[in-house]
Amino acid sequence: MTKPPMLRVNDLKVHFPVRKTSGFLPDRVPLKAVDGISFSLGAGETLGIVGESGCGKSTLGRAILSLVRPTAGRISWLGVDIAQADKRATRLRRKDLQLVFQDPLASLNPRMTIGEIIAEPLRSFPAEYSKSVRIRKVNEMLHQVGLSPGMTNRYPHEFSGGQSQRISIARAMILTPKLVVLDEPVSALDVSIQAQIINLLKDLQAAFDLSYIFISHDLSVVQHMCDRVLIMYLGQVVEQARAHDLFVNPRHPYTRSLIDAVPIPDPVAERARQTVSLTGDPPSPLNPPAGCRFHPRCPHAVDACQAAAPELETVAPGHDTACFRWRETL
Amino acid sequence: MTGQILTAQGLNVTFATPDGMVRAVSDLSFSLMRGECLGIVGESGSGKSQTFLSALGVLADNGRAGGVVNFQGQNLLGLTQNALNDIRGNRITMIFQDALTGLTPHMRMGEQLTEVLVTHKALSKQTARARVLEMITRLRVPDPQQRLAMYPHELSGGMRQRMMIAMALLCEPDILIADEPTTALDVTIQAQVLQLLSGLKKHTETAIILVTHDLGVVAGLCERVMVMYAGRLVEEAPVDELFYDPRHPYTRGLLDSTPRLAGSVHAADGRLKAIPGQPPSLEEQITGCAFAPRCAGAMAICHTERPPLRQSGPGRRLACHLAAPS
Amino acid sequence: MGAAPGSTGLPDLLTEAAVIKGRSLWQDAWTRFRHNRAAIAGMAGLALIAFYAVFAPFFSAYTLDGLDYTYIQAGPSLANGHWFGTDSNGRDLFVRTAYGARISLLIGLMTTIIALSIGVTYGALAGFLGGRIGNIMMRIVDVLYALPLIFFIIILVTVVGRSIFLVFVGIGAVEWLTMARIVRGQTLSVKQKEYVDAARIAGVSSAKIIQRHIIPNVIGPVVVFVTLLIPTNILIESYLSFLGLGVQEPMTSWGVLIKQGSNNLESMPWLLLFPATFLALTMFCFNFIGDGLRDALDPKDR
Repeated sequence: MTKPPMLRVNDLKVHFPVRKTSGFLPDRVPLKAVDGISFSLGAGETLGIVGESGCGKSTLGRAILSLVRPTAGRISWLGVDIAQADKRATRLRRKDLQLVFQDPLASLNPRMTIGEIIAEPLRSFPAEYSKSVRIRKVNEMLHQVGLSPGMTNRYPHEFSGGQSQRISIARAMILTPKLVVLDEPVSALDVSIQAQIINLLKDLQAAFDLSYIFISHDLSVVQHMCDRVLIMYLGQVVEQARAHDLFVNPRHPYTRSLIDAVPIPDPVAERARQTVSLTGDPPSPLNPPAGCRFHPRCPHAVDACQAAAPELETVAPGHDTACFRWRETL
Repeated sequence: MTGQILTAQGLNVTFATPDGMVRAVSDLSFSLMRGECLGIVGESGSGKSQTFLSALGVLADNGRAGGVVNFQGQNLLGLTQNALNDIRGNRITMIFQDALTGLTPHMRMGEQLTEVLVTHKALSKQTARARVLEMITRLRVPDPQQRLAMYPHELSGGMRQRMMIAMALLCEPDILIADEPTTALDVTIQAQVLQLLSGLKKHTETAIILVTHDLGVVAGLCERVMVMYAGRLVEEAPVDELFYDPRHPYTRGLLDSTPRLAGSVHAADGRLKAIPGQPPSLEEQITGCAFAPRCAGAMAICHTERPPLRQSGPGRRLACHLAAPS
Repeated sequence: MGAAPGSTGLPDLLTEAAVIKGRSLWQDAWTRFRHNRAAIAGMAGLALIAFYAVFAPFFSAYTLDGLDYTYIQAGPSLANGHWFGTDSNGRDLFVRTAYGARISLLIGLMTTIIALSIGVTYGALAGFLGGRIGNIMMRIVDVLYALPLIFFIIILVTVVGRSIFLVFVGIGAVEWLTMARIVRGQTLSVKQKEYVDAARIAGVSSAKIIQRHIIPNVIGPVVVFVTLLIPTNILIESYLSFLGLGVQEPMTSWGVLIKQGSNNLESMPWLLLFPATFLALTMFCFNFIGDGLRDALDPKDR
């Protein structure tokens, strides 16, 4: 990637003050949803962000889209800091940065027709998009996502999950953004429809030269879609690498257990697998463990892991991991 | 026949909705052997869940079930709710995708679990409690005493699922029906639960019916697999044969369109082989094969005549004109 | 623009060239509502009562306060034209009940409209703004809630004098509180929906978000509440009239008529019977409609 990165995230932190006790003067404990994340993203690149519930990946996506205000750190888009930007600048930036949600039906207003829904981003910039332009663009967009333009008067509940997600994608793409954050875009869909939507996303990426941030817990899809992958655990990055490197040579025990845990649709391979599944539950982001946050569940943990939190170290060019013992464990 | 504990013949499930009659399950027949793990694969609208909800008599009010579901000499579909109560939770148990809705929110876990034993096995509270403790310890629940004192919403998703499994196993049922048990769980927790079910297979005689859309889960646990589409069985085979020699275009399509973690792979090349189109609406009468509109190899007859379900090998059934001997 | 997307092939959809009219959630709800017999009966009943209120005086030879000396304190009879009987002054009850219906229904409607306007705006704002301001707004509602309605109206009446507008204001000023609470609760839950986030990401301003996304999705429970609020308000008015605080002569309402009827219960039971029956029937109708609306708007609607 010789082009300069479009998006740069530096030590991003998003903490939510959460009431721990009830009553008149409650205790406020910060929920450290995102706790020090850094990465960059270039044009046309797809970055995968993988983690399980509570790791903060959705919060990260929302912070990039200015839906939540970061507590600390920098997000810079095309060289301009957007983390602490004012409302007007944020609104203008909607043309560049967009989001596709996980649950297609929940992200479509049930009282609006899909024509209105898809046109809504255009209406935020009335000077540039007159009514006739809007109609034309909506029809074009519908065609591009594989739906019939004749459906503009229908309501979201009349469509299936896969079709609703296409509508959601159409809405995200209509302002021809440069970066689209995809928050678990296929997790709520049937398997046979997932493949269609994944193909659609790739086609649109090629057609519009888009960058994607692909948030998911599904490693198989991530491997298929992404150029680079970030593994998150409790608000922090534990490993990042090019997709190929990550899956062939995972260095962090959590990454390895994630990969091991994915059931393979291959009976012989499944039976032959000797998996050591992780014990215990993912800890709560309200009360992260001391030192390395993964150490209570890590099969390789030693005392040093509880004493201090490991920083990201370079394993190979473009491949970093946050583990004291990455050299020893295999 | 010995070894068969559950059989179904001609099972039909319909729902009367304002938009018309929805045929959720049509003419389904299958059998389940003692101690075996049977996988039921299908997507939304395939009828896989409704099949077992109807067998247990817990269909929605506007649902009707017809046909025969035979369990230990009785047709479950003909039984009264009272008679079903003796079987449900006791001889046939079910666990669901969302443990939070499957558990009573205002009762502590201990109470809910002991209630099952007290009701069905007429045990005293103390004996029941001891059994419950033993069960959840066996299911590797950490701090079992503490957990029993908690309410469902205080437990994590994986722990709740374990509790639901515990509840389902307390009476040592003949059949455990697991309806998408791991779909809502994180992948590492899913692995734990699958290990649990695998252990169950090894150490008990309980037959497991695993209803899921996840082919990977089925590959690891099941001995036989049934594939359902639009309310009908389209293919049935032993697990290895289903994955390595799929004969129905839908099965093939599912296997091809699932992205897989391969050992060594080049990043993101080419597109997935997706099945075009979408599953049919179950309100309309479908002529011909329900999958035909989406099938690359559909012939003229596929659109007009529904392919009959035929034996296509030992332990295999298939409903497809393409594979029929000409 | 670039290449069209590949074979996502949806042949059945792409062949539909005509623009199809969609089936909105309101239409679905109306279909469900239509099938609810009690609700339709309620609508029919209301229509009849409204018809009675408007047209009944035209059918009768008598007027609102005309005194018929020939038939004072007469019971209901078909023969003499006093179908509901007369009161101690000789006024015809049939006509008076009709005029009473007009006033009662009008009061029910007007107070509800006032409560609606204030309540929805206040509640939506409080819910949307949230945080400190929203909380303070709702605490004000709580405090006002604690004030007893009757005293408030008595004070108002004593200070300003009896008038029908006072009745509107008085009742409306109290009922908006519940409306605000409902709307605020609904707004809070709608605010969290993903389509509101999606609208923000689409660059929609807060005002437009409230207008396009929040209000239409909040209206459901509001509509149900409104149909149950109207009869409540009619009832409150009749309490007030019973206490002598409501409408003044020569206007009359069901409350006034009921009061007069209850004063003469033993001697002229029909004076109580007819207005009370009408009031009760109206309440039933609104309740059936409200129930029907709740059922129609509820399923899968959120």
